[in-house]
Amino acid sequence: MIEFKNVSLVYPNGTIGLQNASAHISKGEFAFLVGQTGSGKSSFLKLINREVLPTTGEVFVNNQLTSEIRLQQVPLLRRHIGVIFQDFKLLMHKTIFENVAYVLEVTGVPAKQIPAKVSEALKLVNLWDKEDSFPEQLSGGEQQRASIARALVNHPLILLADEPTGNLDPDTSWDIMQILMKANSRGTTVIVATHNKTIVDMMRKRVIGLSGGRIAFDRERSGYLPADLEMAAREV
Amino acid sequence: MNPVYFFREVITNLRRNVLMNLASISTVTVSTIVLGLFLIATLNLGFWVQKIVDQLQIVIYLKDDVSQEQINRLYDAIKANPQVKDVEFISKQNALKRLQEKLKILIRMNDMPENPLPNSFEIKLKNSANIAAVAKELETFPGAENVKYGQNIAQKLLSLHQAVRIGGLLVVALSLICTIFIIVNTIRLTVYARRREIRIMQLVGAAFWFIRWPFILEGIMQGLLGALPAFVLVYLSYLLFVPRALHALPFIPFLPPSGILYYLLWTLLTTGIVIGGLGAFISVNKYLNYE
Repeated sequence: MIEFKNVSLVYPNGTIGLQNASAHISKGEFAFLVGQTGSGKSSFLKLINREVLPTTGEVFVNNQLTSEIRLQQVPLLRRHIGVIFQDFKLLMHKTIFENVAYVLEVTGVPAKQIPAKVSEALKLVNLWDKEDSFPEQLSGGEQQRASIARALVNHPLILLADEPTGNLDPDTSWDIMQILMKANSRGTTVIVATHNKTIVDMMRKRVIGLSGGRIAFDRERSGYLPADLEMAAREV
Repeated sequence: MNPVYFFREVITNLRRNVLMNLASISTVTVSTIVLGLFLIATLNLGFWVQKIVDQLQIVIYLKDDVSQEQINRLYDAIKANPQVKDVEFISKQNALKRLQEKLKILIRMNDMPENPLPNSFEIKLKNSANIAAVAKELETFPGAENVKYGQNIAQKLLSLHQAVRIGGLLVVALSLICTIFIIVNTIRLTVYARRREIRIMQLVGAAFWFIRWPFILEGIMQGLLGALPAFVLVYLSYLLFVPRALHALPFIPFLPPSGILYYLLWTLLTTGIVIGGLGAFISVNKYLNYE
């Protein structure tokens, strides 16, 4: 589903995003990207979404080499990828219903089918009673749920989450994680960038650790730090 | 692509961003008012000079020995010239009568051995710009003694006419450029306020044109809504101004308001629409990520 081959990313201002990173994420997987701010988590996600192209190396998404996708084709790639952010990035002048419906309008879904699909997505995130509210009228957790509904309404192959619980309290964070798990169980590949140690430790999923743009470790059913590395860290 | 979607989008955006839109619309109004005033001033100046130019005429003085028959033939020949709009024959007697009227005294024929004034033709042209060429042609007519058309004045008037036309065009073009600059910048502000939105649209996979169209339509609406009151204001002011001006300055001709109605409407609305759409297009492109 997603393949990074010796990927390096240097931004025009000289900042290093990733250095020689290789990883493979299969269809239906759930993976955490962990690491400090600036370790390359967001760069990793942006490379999948083709917001940036690798400076060297190759990124394949859904068997397509991202650097070979023509500019006009990029929107088509994005329609297979749902994205959620720490700051939700909802359209503030649109209602929750309109925010979710927008994705369907963009992809040319017939107008008659839109209400049913939007309702289905809002039910998935337990927000069906807030569809006429504007984002400002909702709590942070509700806004994040709305943005997940927007990301999932299209039944994307991949769901990218960039610090989805960064602004939320622990209980709400768990709600969000439950919803991401639900999406994963429907077959969506989910990649979550986070530094929420508690959540990563509890979930025991695949964890890819980034440090200074390099992949430091990549373990199945791991905590925020793999046991051996945590031991090493304690000894220091 | 669903046009209903785009129009609904434009209407909701106009409704929900009232203040931002009012700023754009009123900027369009003010700058198109200025454009409209320059346009009217230029049109009137041109009209005024045209009026003077239209009064230019060619006079052919005939030799005294020309017979009536020759005069008739000459009259027909002049009339047949495609450049000629109007020709009038002034006989010796009429010329004297006119002179007497002009001088307001009675010239006693007894004091003079004979009427010294010649027979003449007064000719008006369809296009005064050709006056020198036509005059030269008329000089070759048999029986023509002298051809006059106010050579010096005519040349000066004609070059003034040309200067007014080019100058007017320049002034209007310049104020058009200023209008474009101001409006594009204002619309850029409304788009800037929504740059986050553009980024989100790109993230959820909206194609470039799908993002651009609502903004462009909105720009066109802003242009239209701004230019319409500008037209009404400028036209109404001119409607009120002309009768007063004609009363105060009876010797200066003014274009009748009805004569500029469509020209003004067309120019201001087109300017508003084109610049509104173009301004939005330029602005949206600034915030679209083409990487």
